[in-house]
Amino acid sequence: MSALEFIRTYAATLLSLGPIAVGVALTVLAGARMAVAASLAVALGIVGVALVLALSGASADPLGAGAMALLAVVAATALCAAGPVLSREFDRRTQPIALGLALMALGAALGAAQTRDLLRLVIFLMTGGIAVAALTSLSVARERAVAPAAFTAVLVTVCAGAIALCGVGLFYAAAGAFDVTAIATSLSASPGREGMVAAALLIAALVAFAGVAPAHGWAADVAARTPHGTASIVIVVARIAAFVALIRVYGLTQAVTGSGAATAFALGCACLGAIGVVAGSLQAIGASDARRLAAHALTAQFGCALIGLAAGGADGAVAALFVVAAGAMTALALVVGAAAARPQLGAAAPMSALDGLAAQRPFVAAAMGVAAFGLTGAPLTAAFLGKWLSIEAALARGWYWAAAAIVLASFAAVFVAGQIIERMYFRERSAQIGPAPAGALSMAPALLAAVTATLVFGWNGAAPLEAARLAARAMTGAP
Amino acid sequence: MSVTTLLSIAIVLPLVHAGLVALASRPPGLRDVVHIVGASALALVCVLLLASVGQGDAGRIVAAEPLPGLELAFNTEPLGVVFAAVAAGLGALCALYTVGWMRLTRDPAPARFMAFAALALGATVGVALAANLFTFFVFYEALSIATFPLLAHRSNAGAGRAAAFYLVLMLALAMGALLPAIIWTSVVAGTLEFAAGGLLSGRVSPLAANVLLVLYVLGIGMAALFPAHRWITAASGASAPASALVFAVTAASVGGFGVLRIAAYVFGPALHDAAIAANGVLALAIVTLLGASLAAFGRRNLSERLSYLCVAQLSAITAGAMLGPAENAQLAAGWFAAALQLIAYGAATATLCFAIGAIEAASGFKDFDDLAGLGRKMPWVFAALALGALSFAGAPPLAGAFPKLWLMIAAADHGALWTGLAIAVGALLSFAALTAPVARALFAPVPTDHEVAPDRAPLLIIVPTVAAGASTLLLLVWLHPITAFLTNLRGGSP
Repeated sequence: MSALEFIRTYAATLLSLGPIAVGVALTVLAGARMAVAASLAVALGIVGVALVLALSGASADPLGAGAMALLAVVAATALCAAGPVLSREFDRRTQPIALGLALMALGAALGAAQTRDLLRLVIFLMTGGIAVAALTSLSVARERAVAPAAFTAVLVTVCAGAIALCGVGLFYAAAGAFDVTAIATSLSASPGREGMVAAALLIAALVAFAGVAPAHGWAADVAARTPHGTASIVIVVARIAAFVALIRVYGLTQAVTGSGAATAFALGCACLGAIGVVAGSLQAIGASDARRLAAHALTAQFGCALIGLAAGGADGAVAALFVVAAGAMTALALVVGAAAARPQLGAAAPMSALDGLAAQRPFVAAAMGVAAFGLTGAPLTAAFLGKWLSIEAALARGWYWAAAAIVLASFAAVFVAGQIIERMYFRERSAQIGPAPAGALSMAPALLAAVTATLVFGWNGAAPLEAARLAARAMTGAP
Repeated sequence: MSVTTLLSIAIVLPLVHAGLVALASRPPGLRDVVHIVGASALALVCVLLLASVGQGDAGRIVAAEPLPGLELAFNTEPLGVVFAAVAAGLGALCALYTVGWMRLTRDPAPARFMAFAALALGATVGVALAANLFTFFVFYEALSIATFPLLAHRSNAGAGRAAAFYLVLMLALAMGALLPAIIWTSVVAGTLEFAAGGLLSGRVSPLAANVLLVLYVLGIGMAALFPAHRWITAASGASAPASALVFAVTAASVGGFGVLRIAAYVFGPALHDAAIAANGVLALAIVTLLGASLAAFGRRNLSERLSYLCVAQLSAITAGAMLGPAENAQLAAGWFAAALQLIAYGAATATLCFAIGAIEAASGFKDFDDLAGLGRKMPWVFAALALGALSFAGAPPLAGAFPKLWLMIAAADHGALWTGLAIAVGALLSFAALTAPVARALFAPVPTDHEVAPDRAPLLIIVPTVAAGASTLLLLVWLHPITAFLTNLRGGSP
């Protein structure tokens, strides 16, 4: 077996269990420098495997492959920035533990995004949830307010995990399998009540795991309290992975429930989407913390994606996937930019840390400016195309209220973006905040990736659109 | 040179211009030459484009296709080409004026201003030459962003606040109303391509047509219809080159052009299906026109008074666009009036902004009360000011006279005599608001406490001011070719 073949065959295992194993080792064994080196090696490794998968032709699971490519880029660039930032946040003993926990959360997220086995999905999500909670709790010594956020994360993980396991159990009882395809094949011929209840339970649990409104409060709390160095993995990677799982399970619900129930599920998801898009956008306006803002913005993007997904058909699913990808890039730039702007890294990242950033870190400010415009769905950004597709899908379905919710979100996003830009470009940095820290170079890959993806795919969305189409076709069975 | 080549150059040139100005920020001489040459070259390209289209050539280019069927495309539709030529021509005068102004006031960051001025001009040309609603929206948004630093250029809190208000309002209205309207149009019509005769014609129910028209007019906040007019009045404190660029050449003109373009090329005959909304917008335009004209009297500051009069003049464009062709009428008198008003507005507003800026820069005076006798010290500037003021008032044979005449014809076509009466009253109010102070400046004795050196404004300020003033007379010469150009607004020639 050649190396290439080996990677292709064991990609799923390498991408999920690899980071988890390295993470466990780091928390137990390694020193700070070794931890940074190991995390960079993992970053290179996951990008390499994702690249091999992407270049080796059509995948049997385009949704998983697409999600993997997106998450690999986000995670790898985030890991590049993690080491230097964590060294400002923690002592030398805590740094490897933080990196180890981040790698465990990352491995679990990558596993959850690609697995088609529902039992493994729940295990991965619970592992990731516990790792995120532990990671957040590392800052308790510095700020006691972190403790409730970490505790909430544990509580959500346990409760949502229990609900998800009930759903998975019901599916197994009805179909005798854990695999999504096998369940769909078994139940699509004779949709029953068990399938419907199982789907509802699983979706409810995934809504909580992904931090989709109305279960998004915990995600914002954790985002605002988690260490800066690993914030991208907690805020972006873990949530996006759970949302990809939600998309997969939503596709399953459409296959295994009767037409009436499928319509009810669609309407329910659209309502959740509308709530998310409005709540996320409005809460983002009032956010006093940059990472909380990014978390709420991602909640709004999830809402937008859910509307597209629920609107139905391959076009709606394409819209959902496009929105999620664009949202990931925007959130990445905001989270990494917030870390680059904060001189003393405490648990919080107040918006005032952005004041006058353009004068001190013009490239970081420019990247955050692009992300801010992406939030508004400004034309020629990837987010614009995502919003366009979502609104089009909602209008085609006759859901004017859902389209109106997306429009309202864009409207609100203008104020959010205006606030970010106004702070960076038109405010003086007070002496109390202090100068922006040096060492923004380690954040360059993340910012560059976010800006490039936002602008290049906004100019020509053909490549991500094709990937999203493949995934949507595989999910919906459309020709 | 082929039409498609000219189109490509017109789109790319401002980007190159902006980049070169930013790179050549020192020495100042090189920077200024690059700015003037860049803006003049764009004007030349647009005039060549106008000449080519006049000879019957047509072209279309696609710059990008972000999504299948969603093209960033440009074409040589006559109304757009005329507007591009007018904007680029006035833009060249603005470039000359900007150089003079920056030198006179020793501005700390002229290269930044000039770079964004080039981008704003480029975005305006992009809006003008847009082949479809998507391209229109992209360049409209780009214009909102590019003009923001121009308005904020005066580094005081007031300018910053006004610019921030402008940006947030424009982006919010565009995202909240214009974008949904465009997507809805795409769903209903299956295309976004501008079409003579209206792309919605025959494809939309009366209810949808009414809602869409409201969304479009609301979304184009740059048209400054009440209550969105506040962006102009709030930004009246901007520097003279910024005011000229934003009020006369780019943003405000694009607002008027956008409403006309939507009415003629998106709705066309479907405007009759949206009669309720069209009449509502028409009424709002008239209220804005009269209200702004009256409000102008309460302002003693030159720039503030001008800003209210700009709002009134812009409302006349919207009024013309909503009047359109009367049912079963041969002529699209309303749209033709709106097109003429667009040209007249640009020329007169540029003249007034230049002149008021020259007065402020040379004398430091900002209020009408300070103008007494100043006309004798600055005869060229005040002569231009008088031409601009008379054009606003619709005095023949200046440019402002023709659109007002056609607006009254359109109003008569529709049986909306109240509209014609309001246009006439608005013209009288403009006359009173601007010409009285000009007369005071030219004929009143100079107060003894005024210590003003004779015409301290440099040539680089006086020349574009006078040239812009002279342009208010040129519509007399250009009326026939423009009439021939705009026949496709609705089939027949006005």
